[in-house]
Amino acid sequence: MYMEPEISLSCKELVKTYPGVVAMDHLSFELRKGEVHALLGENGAGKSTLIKSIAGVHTCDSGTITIFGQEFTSITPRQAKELGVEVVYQEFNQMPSLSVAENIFLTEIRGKRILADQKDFQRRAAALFQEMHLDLDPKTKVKDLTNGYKQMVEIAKAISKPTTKILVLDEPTAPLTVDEVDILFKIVWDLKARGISIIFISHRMPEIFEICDRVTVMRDGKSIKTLDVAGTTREELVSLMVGRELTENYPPRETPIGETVLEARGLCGNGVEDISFHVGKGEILGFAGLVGTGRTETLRLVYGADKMEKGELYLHGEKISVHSPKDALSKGIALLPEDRKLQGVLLKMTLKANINISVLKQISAATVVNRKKENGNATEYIQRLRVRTPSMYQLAGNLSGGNQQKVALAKSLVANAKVLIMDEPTRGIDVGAKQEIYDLMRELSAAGMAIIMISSEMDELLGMSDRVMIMSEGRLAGELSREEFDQERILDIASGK
Amino acid sequence: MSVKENTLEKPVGTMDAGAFFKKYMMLIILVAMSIFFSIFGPNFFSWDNAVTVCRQVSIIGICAAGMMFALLVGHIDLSIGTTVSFSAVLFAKLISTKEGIEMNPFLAIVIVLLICAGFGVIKGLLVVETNMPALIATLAVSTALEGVNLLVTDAKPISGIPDGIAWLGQGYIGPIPMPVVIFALIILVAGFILGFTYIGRYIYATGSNTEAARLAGLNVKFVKVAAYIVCSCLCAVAGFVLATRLRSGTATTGTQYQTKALTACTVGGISMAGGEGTIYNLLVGIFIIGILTNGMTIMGISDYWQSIAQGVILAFSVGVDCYQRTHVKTTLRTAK
Repeated sequence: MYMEPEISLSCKELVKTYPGVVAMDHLSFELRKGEVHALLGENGAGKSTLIKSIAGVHTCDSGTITIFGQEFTSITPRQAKELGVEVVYQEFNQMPSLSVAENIFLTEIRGKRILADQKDFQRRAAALFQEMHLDLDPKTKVKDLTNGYKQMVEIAKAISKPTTKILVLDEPTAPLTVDEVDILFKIVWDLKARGISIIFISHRMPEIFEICDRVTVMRDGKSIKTLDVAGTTREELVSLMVGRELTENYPPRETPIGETVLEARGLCGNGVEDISFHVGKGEILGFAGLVGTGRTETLRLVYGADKMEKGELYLHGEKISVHSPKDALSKGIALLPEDRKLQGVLLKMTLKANINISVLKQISAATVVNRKKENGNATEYIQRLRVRTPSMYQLAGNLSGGNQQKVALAKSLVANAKVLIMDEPTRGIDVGAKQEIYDLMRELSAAGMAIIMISSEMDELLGMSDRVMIMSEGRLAGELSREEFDQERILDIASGK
Repeated sequence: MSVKENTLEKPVGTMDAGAFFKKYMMLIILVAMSIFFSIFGPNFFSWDNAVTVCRQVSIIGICAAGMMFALLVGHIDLSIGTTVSFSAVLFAKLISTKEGIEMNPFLAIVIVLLICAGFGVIKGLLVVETNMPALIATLAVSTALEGVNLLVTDAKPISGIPDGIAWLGQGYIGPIPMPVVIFALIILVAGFILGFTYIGRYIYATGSNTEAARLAGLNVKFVKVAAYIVCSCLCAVAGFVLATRLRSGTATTGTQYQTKALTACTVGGISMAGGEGTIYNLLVGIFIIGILTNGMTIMGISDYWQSIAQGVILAFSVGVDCYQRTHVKTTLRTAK
């Protein structure tokens, strides 16, 4: 006889908006008791927002969360914990100079006793590790652990609480080695056997097929479909994941690609190894790969933002050395950084100051800035990039994300770059601004700019790039030309399959 | 789109209100204070007292201008007091007709300036190369300088400053005392650099967001070291004026100047977070402190109480600055 499965957690019609972005759009989700449920989706699909809402870190604009029959419109982190929700985030919340045992049982210290019973902590931690098949001395300081073990300690902390009934693992396997992944999977099976429900977020498709029971595919803040893992295929999942109807319009290339402008040979440093690539005049070269596989790191080397250990750069066939962003800019290489607010624009300064910051010396005579030229640049680029602002004296911090991004772009363009590196150029900006950025990229490429674009959005990569370099674990894993473009193939290469 | 525009409205409004408060509130307080002391302080409202106030603030004002450069790049300089003392005692020692070597005063000025610039380089490099907190780096330099000053003077005042150079601290140009002239010149030059040259923009950009400035192609390390050099050289100038005005150099002459300079800066609205504050803020801050000190003295309030008042003002002004900053952040975060 079929029995209705017991539901541990259900979310109904959750909505969460950020300025300019809808992170969750009437999202519903259901978690059964004792199941391992995968959340699958591209970056920005709303997975993190969902788990943060469940853990009470965010408050949703509307919708309800029901945990073991108790319904909430807003839940506090404390309530979530009391109901047995434990989240292991990608970023660790650890005290590096304390021991592993202390880190795990830290929250228990407050209570009756003033002194922490170290012996007791260590004994219990040892028992816990044994249960987890983990070879780790509870006295080790957390700062001495590898990232993989740090992750294990986080998981141990989450399951050490007898109250834990729902465990959320946000990309738990990302920092782990193959052996460690096996250990983790054993733990997951044990937990499942104990009736704990697990939400498992991973970009690695094979893992989902290995340990998950069901999978919910998310896209643009909506849950697209929930499927039994046994009854689906990776092809189906990939097409659900990326197969949105194209809302953006990618302007096609109308001018030919010219001679090679920038060539990198054997770049090493900053965690990446032996990267070689070239980009031609008017070409748009895409960099694909999962987050943290060294795309940003590679191009920061090219821009001189981080120290290059080995490797050579050639600009128009001539060897150049780039030791700082200043060097790079003077040679015509510009960067639109990944983090707009922290790296891209100076939030406390005006638009005008932002736009001119990289060319101040050129528009100054005897150190005095020529205001006419300064205003001229500002006016020109505000118009050309259609920055929506009341005036050029507006502080950059007061603009919306899309407009800030345009200002950051203007800053690079004023500097007269020949090579433009764009790191996630459309992350977190609204659809209209996205389209404008795409149009601009095409316009620049038609004018002969060599563009290198890092993007985690598959559509955008395939829509705009002429060629795609695919990175995996700090190395180049493949290169595809436009004729060979195929989402699945890129995902396969990126996940090291 | 509508979502975006709605959420955009609010921060714009609140930021403007904050900016308005920062910009004019202190000026209003300054005027209110002047009116208060004019009514209740005998002889406060007079030309002579106005000149006195200006002279009283001039030396601290020069130091505050130095502190401003350190604050604008996002750091601080707690060695201002001992650098002023160092400059005063070394200058006195070099030119004194009694205890020194009777060097040409102008040569002595150049030498002391160069040495102080060297201190600036040391402070700057400590901060940018090791990433240590500027608080500690400059405190360490200050502690060392305290010893140097005592070594130079043997803990005794150095007198015998020749008549000629005493004009620097005691002379007048027309009705205006020399220290005030020097102070005014420094304010003009600093204001010009900060407001009109690319050097000024570099300083604001570096203080506002060092990483973004670096990625925009600025040599941020150089900018920071340069700010410390400027700060130390201004301290040296304050030391010259102080020594010639008192016609002696003592090891403790600049004690606590960094606190007064910092109070003047923060009261005026120069942010501790870096990148925010103009020469206007500096002037308002300097005169608030100057008029408060002068007014309280005229009303017969003791130095002890003045010191207490200054501590309260420092805590209050920095508190407001930091509170506003974190408060804006949280409202932005919840707006998300």
